[in-house]
Amino acid sequence: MNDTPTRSERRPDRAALVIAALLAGLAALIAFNTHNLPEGIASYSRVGPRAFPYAIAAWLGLIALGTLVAAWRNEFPPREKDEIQPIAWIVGGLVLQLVLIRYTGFAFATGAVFAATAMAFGRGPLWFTYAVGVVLAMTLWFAFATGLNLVLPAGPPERFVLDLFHALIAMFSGGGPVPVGA
Amino acid sequence: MDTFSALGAGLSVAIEPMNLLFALIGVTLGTAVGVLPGIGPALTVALLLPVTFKLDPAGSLIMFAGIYYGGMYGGSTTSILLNTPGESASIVTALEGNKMARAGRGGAALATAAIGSFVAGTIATIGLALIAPWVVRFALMMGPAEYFALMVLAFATVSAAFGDSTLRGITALFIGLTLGVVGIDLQTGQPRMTFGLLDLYDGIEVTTVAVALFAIGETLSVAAAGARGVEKIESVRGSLWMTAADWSRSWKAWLRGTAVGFPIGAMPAGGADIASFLSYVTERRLSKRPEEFGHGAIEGVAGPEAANNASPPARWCRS
Repeated sequence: MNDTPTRSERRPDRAALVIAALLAGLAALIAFNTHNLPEGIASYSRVGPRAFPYAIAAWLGLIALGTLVAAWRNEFPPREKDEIQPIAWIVGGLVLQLVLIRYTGFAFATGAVFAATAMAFGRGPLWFTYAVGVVLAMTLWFAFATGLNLVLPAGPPERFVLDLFHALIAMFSGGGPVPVGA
Repeated sequence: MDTFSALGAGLSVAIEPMNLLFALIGVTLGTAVGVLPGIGPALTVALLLPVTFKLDPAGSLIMFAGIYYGGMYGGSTTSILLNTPGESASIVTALEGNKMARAGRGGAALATAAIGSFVAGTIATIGLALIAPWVVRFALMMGPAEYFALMVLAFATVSAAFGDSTLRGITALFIGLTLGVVGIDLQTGQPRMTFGLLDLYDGIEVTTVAVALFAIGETLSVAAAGARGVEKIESVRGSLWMTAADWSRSWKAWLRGTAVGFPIGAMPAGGADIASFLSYVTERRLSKRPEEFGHGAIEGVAGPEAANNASPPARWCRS
């Protein structure tokens, strides 16, 4: 955000201009997407699946105009100064998790968010927070999988832990193999 | 008065020690699972379904009810303490409840939520027995036009009441509506705004949006504040009990919340979330101290919590 205390009174609020542009873009996107809906079964009715998206697009367009005017007149209240670096860390961590979760499973991906967020708050070192995050996430995954039968995305590490768990149960109960998912 | 003797018989079954135990177990489990962010009462019941398999019908029903209410209360707990609503009906609770918790009044917020839920649930159940036939008739009289009007009322009041800028309120409202459009149109089966992505066909879940806006938004805001806002962690300190002032401010809010929540719950498509939003707006308008709203007003927790608990019994009467 371009927010500085030295902002002159007359200059339009640039951040708000960007927001107005985004809103206008969203309105255009909805209108365009709705316009391209295939002529479907519902075309006999005037209020079909297109009515509301069009209404929303129209309103968003009006709101974009309103925001534009407000930005021009500098009507938005002053904002506090945000630091970019912590936000970059957290968003980066989330993106990394999104990418990783498909390949490494829940624990190792979630550890990345944990470590990145810890970094954003100024805690490190990364290898340590990552290890803590992975252990926590693995515990959580395990509790969900065994306690609630709610299986979060699993990768090789999770399957290994679950197999180990079942092997241990089989060993201590002295009986045959435990059916998976019991 | 047949309904009352039936209610009495039900009550006498419910207060058998074994059944009370089941209720206790249900509420405990429900709260424990319900406090996990993103898991609402419905999902809690679904998850804990296997637990009740071995019980007799009465016992399992009682345990279910316990789990449901426990799950709802768990959702309110995360709203108040962590600013992370578990489902759409407790979003409003987060607005005032979390502010109360930050002011060290988390105990009172939790208490008013719990007692308000109990009061509203009880009144709504009795009300259900008394006036169910009339409520159903009234609810069935509501046509599409009336629903539309009700929706517009809810949206308009919400966008006008939240925050101090109508422009930004409406902006938030329409961004929300945009998110709501994504997915398959319920009436015609037409996929909208999905861009051919299968994952978007089911739409965007309220839970996803709530966690993204409240939990992640909160984290980013705190992290970005850096040195500006060094916040200290507020534990639930002070008395867990409500003061006399809290009681006197809460009880009217509970009753009003019940009055708002019960009829709305009886309408098809009217859910606990709309009830809680309307109740919040009502409390804000009627409050003698409107300036406290947004900074932890106890009415803002008491009313919506009562409203979202008054609506399920009414829902049952239409199903």
